[in-house]
Amino acid sequence: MSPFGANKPEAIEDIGKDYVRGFLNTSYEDSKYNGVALSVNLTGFNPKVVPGLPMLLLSEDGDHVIGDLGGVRFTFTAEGASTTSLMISRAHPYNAPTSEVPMMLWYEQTMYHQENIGSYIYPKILGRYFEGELASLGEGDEEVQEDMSILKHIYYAEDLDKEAVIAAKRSRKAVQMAVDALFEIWKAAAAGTANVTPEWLGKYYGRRGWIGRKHLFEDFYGVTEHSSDWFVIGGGYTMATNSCTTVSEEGAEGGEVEVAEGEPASENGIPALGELIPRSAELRGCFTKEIQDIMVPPALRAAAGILVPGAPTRDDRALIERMSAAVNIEGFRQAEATQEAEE
Amino acid sequence: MQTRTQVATSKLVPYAYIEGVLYPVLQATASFSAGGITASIIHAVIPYDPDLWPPYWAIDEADKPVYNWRNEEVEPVSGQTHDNGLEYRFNVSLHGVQENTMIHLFVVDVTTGEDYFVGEGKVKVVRKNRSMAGSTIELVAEGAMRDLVELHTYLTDYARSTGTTTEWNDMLGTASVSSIVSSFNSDSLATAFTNLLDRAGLNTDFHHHLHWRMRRLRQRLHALDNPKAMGSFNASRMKSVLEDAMGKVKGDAPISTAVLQAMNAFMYQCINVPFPSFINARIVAETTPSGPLSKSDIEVCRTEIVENAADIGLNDEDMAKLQMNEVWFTPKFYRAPPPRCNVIFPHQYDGYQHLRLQGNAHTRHRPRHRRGPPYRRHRIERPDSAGRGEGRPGGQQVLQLARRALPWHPYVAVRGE
Repeated sequence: MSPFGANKPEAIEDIGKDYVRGFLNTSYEDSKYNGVALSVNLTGFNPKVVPGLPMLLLSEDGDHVIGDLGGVRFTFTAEGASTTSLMISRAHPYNAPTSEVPMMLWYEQTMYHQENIGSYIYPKILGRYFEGELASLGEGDEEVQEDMSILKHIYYAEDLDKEAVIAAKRSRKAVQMAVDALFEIWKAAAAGTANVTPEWLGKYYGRRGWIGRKHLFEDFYGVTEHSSDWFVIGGGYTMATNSCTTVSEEGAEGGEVEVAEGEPASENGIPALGELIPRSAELRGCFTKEIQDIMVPPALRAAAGILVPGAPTRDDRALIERMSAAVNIEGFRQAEATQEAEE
Repeated sequence: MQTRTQVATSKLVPYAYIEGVLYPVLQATASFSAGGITASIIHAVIPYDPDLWPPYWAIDEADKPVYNWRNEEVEPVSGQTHDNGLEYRFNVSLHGVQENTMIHLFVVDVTTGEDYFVGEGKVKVVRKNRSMAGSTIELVAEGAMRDLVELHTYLTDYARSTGTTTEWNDMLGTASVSSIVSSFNSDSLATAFTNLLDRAGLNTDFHHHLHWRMRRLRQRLHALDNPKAMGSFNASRMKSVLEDAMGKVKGDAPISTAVLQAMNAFMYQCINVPFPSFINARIVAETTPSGPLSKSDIEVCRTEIVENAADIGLNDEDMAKLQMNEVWFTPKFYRAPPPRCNVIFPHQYDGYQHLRLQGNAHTRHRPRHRRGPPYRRHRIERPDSAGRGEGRPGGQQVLQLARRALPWHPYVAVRGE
């Protein structure tokens, strides 16, 4: 119960009748399936799922389940085995009746109603879908789908015209209709009568645009001066000096500005509390160099033990490059080929 | 939908960057959840190295010999001063993985070359495991929400112990409850959430400030608005309720504490997103005609997805930076149609376990005559059977009740025909 809960009429009046009505009705409707949970172990790796959002579990016997994805757990091993486990809470049949009361009292309908949530809310949370291979992507709009929820499949119901589709999306049976349509697609795929296979659906249907190492370190952290894995040369800060490196307006080539402990803000020379790094400053690097200096040798030894049988015989730099190549599969294959050729 | 018939089987190998240094990973587990203030958790098992583990801090006085991590004596820094004129009291040698060490977990699909950023965390626990197979080190790290929890704890303790006053608010990440409520009223919920948290993260000591900026937490934590819930709330009452909820620190409250309390009041949840994405980027298809998604070139792009930055608690100038969907504060989604990424097809699992936990079911939907634990509430008596106890309704009555309460139940549907 919220700290705003109150049991006195006058308190409810103070807080706001609409608020209390909305809060209590939504809490009640939301808790109808409390305690009904499903745990599912997937047969393969599935990086698409996002906790906190509704989840659809299609069932071969037509007894489909919808719930909230409470949590997901991934395991990986160096041998290449991986598992994905899901915990679905508030599980209920996909055709269970739902109350409209919470939507009327608590949620902004233009944002959260079922006909809008797929095109207004989900894109913000999930980014874009890439339901295909990169080679097939064009520019602009082709990357974006209008509706990122399963209600997209109502559009494809052949016996519905445009107005009927809109009405269907607003109907209380919209989710049920969409699930049925999607299940038909899967059944056709499994029967071999569709232009997609079940495996294709499993991999590309609702695929999110996840990010890789390059995107994280180069594009997000802005570590630009690095060669594959030796990127920390380009920046970083030290906790010993409490300083960080910022990029000047001219960019990396235009020189760097060292921001120390901030300008003394008071007359007695004591450094100011609060914001010391200008908001406009673009920080670069996110690691502590002292720790890195300590960690590089054992990392090399660990890599040598795994990737290079026997004692390491190469210098450190070569080992780093080999570790980097192991991450970059193409590079790894080339390194293997080169090594074989040398031998 | 495009036609594809051949899909390669994934074979995934984990690896990690620990404080920016590439490490092989023997085994990794990553857990992500939604709900309260919980962070994602990353377990990584890496090879043991006796020179590095277990970690320790060596604290030496300035006038005594100082040793580096190789146990070599190095020059002390006695007499050196901070910029503010205070002398160093001691030297701290950093040894190996320790609290706040950063770990980035990745997996690479060796069949396709696609690599995935699983998640990022700060190391909180280091364990050494010994088995027949040898020794390993297990690291347990917590994701971006950990920073918020730390900030929350830090500021609460600080406010309680020092009794901060209003004139220090801008410097200590605290504010009067009135000003916090004003923020909620003047801005949208999303903007108030993110701006207040950002203010709390930046207006602290330099260590927290630096981490907030270096980890780009402003670009990781986002919130969705729900104007209806906010609009129906009596703002003047909110102040006193927030004060009551926060107890002794109500006068000058840690901003983060107030924000987390407000989350409960508006039925918000926190979502930790695995394999995060950028929400304002596009793939530069011209320069990346084919290949894995993770190797493609991207550029910041203000698309129709984030046409209005305030919708997700951002300012216009924030849109020039990449925004990652790692942590979201959203209203709980009531019976919404699932997004397509959250669809599991029948061939993707072998089976599932259906749990009905006791104690949580609503009594209003349980036939009143039935006794026993709530998990039996769906069990309907056969129509031709009599009640087992005197005064209990018979099977037909039960079925009538069930038709009203559980019209979707397959047994009811069959028997009701």
